[in-house]
Amino acid sequence: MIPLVAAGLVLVVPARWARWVALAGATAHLASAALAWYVERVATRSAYATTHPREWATWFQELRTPWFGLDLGGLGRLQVNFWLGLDGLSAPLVLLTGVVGLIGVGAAWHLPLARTDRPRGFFSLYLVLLAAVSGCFVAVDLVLFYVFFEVMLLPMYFLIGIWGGARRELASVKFFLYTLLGSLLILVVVVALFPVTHGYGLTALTDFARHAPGQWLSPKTGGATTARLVAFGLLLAGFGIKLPIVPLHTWLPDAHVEAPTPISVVLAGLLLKVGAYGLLRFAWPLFPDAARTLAPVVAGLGAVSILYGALCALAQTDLKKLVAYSSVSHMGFVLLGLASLTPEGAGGAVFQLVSHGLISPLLFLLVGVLYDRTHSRQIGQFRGLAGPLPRFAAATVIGFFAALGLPGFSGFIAEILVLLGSWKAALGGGAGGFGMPLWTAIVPLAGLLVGAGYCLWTVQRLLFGTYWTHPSLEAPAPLPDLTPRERWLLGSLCAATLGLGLFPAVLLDGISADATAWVNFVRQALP
Amino acid sequence: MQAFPAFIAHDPAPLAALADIRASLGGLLPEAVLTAGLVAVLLLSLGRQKIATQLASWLTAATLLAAVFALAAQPNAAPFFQQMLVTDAPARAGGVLAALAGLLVLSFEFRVSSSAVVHAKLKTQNSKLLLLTLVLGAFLLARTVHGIVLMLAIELISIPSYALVLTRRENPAAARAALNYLLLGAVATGALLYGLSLFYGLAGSLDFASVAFWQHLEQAPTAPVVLAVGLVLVGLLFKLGAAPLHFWAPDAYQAAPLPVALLLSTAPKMAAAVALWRFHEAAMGLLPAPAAHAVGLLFTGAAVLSLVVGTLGALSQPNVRRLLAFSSIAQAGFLLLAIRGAGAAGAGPVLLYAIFLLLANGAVFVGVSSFEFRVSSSPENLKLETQNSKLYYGLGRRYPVPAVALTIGLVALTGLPPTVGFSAKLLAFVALWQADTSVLGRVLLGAGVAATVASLFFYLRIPYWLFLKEAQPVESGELDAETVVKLPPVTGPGLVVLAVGLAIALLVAFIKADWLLRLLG
Repeated sequence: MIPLVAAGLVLVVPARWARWVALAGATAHLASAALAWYVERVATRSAYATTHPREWATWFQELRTPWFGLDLGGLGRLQVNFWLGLDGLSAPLVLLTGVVGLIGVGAAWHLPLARTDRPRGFFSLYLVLLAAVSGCFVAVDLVLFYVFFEVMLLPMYFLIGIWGGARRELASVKFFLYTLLGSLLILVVVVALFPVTHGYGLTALTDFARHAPGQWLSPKTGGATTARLVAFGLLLAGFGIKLPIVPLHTWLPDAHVEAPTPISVVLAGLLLKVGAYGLLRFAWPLFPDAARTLAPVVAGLGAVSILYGALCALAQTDLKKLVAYSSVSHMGFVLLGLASLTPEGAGGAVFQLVSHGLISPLLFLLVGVLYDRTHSRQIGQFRGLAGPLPRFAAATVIGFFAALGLPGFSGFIAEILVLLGSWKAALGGGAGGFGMPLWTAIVPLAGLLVGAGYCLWTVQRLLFGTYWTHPSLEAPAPLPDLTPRERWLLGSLCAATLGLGLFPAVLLDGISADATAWVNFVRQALP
Repeated sequence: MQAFPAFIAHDPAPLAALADIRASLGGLLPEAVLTAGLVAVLLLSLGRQKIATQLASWLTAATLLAAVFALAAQPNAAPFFQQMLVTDAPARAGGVLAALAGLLVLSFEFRVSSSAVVHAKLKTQNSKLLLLTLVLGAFLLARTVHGIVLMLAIELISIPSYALVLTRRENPAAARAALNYLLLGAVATGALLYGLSLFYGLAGSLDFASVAFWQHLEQAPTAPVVLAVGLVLVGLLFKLGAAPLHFWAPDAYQAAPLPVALLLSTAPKMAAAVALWRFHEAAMGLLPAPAAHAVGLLFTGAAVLSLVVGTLGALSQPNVRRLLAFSSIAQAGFLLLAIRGAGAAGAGPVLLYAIFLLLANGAVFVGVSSFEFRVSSSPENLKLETQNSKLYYGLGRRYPVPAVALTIGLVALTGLPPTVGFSAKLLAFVALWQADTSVLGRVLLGAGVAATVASLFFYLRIPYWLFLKEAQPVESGELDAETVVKLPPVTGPGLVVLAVGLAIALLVAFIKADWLLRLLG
């Protein structure tokens, strides 16, 4: 809620204070997110929690107030609660939202949009976006989640459309249409679920024993009905657009390239995570039968996303597009991890969300650093940057090494966990019959290799050799190195990804208990 | 024997007509208030012009307010006044909403005419008389359960509407639009009358509230019954502004002053939605199965057609007025969708959608006025320029407050959260999903969802012009961006406050949608 208050405040203060208010709002948001995460963590570590096995959908922190109820006469009552909850799966993401939100403000700090180009509009939309993202991560009621999910749409449309690059109109409209289409697919499932569940709280949605029989989406034992497969497919497509899954990803490179740096940071760092979180929190648990049946298909999509994203990244000459495609590749791991239905895979997927939420903002910030100085993002227009810009070079090396999954960085932990999970599932070890075809476990390895290829190649092309910039660039020669502000932003992200790589247990403890509960639920519900 | 809806009474013992009328007079209080106000405004217009104009506005507002309270205070009543009128929650809601729409339009028009540009030359008293007559018709339409009163109510709404479209008499386009409207209205009325005469022949009365009426229909052959229902439906769809009786809308919206367009897109629709709901409930519940099925098909067909026509028409529309006209055709389709879904859910979805439509259309029309008048009103050029969307380019930066209010209204019309448009659409979809499980119902639902996606293209086009486009000089027009900028801000702060208030209402109503329904009983 803090960002919303701050958004209102930004609108009323003079334009030149807007960024300070936004900074205060984002900081307060980070503090509250950190507090929420810490409280959840203490609860997780309590004696009760460590001795009792975690059950699905037990919330250690929750807030529940009735929101609106509409009488439908003979059909019962459409009751929607303002129901927020926090568990091991959502707490790290809430924390991530706080961090990335603050980084985004930092990235916007010196741009014209933060000072002269309608900063009030920019920061108020930015903070509304931030509030909606945090809302998504804590919503326990499906309709509430959907509302937050939709609310993200409009601020993003205007943020890209007003403050974006040259082709911003096309990019923002494309983004908007893709995402709206996705959310309407989700809405169809929301509507169709009502006669079955008569409520949208997560407990009501997943309490299959009490679901009304005889409806379109009524669960049956002994395999998923066609209707439930279709509904799961709709959710997969709806969230998959946001994630993005490969055939549905084409809005992403455009949106990233045209968005200003802070918006790219939030888009990659947070918005993609919301799609993944929707799959994790709603698609799988609501339709466990369909998720098990379709696990091979989903795993295949994930594997294809990994390889295809990596190959596309390899072919890019625009640095920002390269990073955008690398996001597609990395989010494929999330899908693969979820599909494997193993504790390793699911935990790795959540960890990958956090890890990628730190690495991709780092990479986009680096692109922003270059672009601010030279107004160019073409890889071929730079060479030997390591000489005049040693600090930039160090951050770039760390960023791309983290992206390729080098041991010691957070990406490594996440990807190795997902791969372990997928191998386990592919070899049938404990997957219990709904394992995945072997190729879905092998292809990601190829994807990793290609990933290493484009990361190292980019580092080599940008940094090494003798210093040279394309003559057409209107840039001071030699380029100035990082400013203190950039040093802080990049440094903290580098430290975070390194820290999580070296001490993954900080987050993984909390994640794994709930990931195990999640896996058990999805595997055992509705036999 | 099927279960009868609450407003269908069993035939009472024959009363002496006079005693019945006397007993019913209390129930007529809201209509009486309106009629008294009408007469008073009419008398006022004989007095001195200047004072009368001011006074007439306040008198009209007071009359509307009094009528709202009188109607809201009416207790539920079985059919009274010779079985012609009924009082129940939807009737109250429909009338109250129509009167509120009247009040909204009144404040809108009042602001416009008292602001710097009075060149629209609204014939103020006349328009107030017409407004009151229209609301009176809407009251009757929402409460009636009798064919003749239905007919009367529709005419009471239609005739002022024709005259209102002709407000800007010097404009030939207005004359054309009004004539179109009149001709189509005549056709619709003719169809309605023919349908009623068929009903009379089949059932021996026009008393929709009597059991005997429906029992006679049960014995009648299916085809004439369906034909009769279809013809009556034509009259009602005309008032709802739904396809296939929508042809008047784009011209009328373009040629009429904006307040009149707002009035046409709200007040009659509120009442017509209630009347259609009542008619639909009775026909679906009381007609024998084959006829009921065919009637369902008619309603669904009209809904799908409205959605398709409205959406496709608006998609490639560069003219904001015509875009709004097509938008309200599509919204009429959504109202029909909600009516189809009502069934066991009661009138709730329909009423919520009607409330939402009133608020959203209000915000959008008032918001648009901020830009229309600004771009059009160069002192020497009195022509209202609505054709060129380039005139909207970049204005969002210059006038952010009305632009944001307008955007919220458009977002609500699209049906996105956090506006009540989302709640209204969600409720209508959920109700329809349950009420009609046939293939037809799914088709309608699919059309609704598809129309929602497509509507994004045209609704967001306006904020796109306002915010995303840079201001551009218009090449061949008389107005260029420079003169626009130099014009004094025509819209008074009053209108901006009105638009912002409506936009906030849309957001607040999203948080507490159930309050709205409770307010209306």
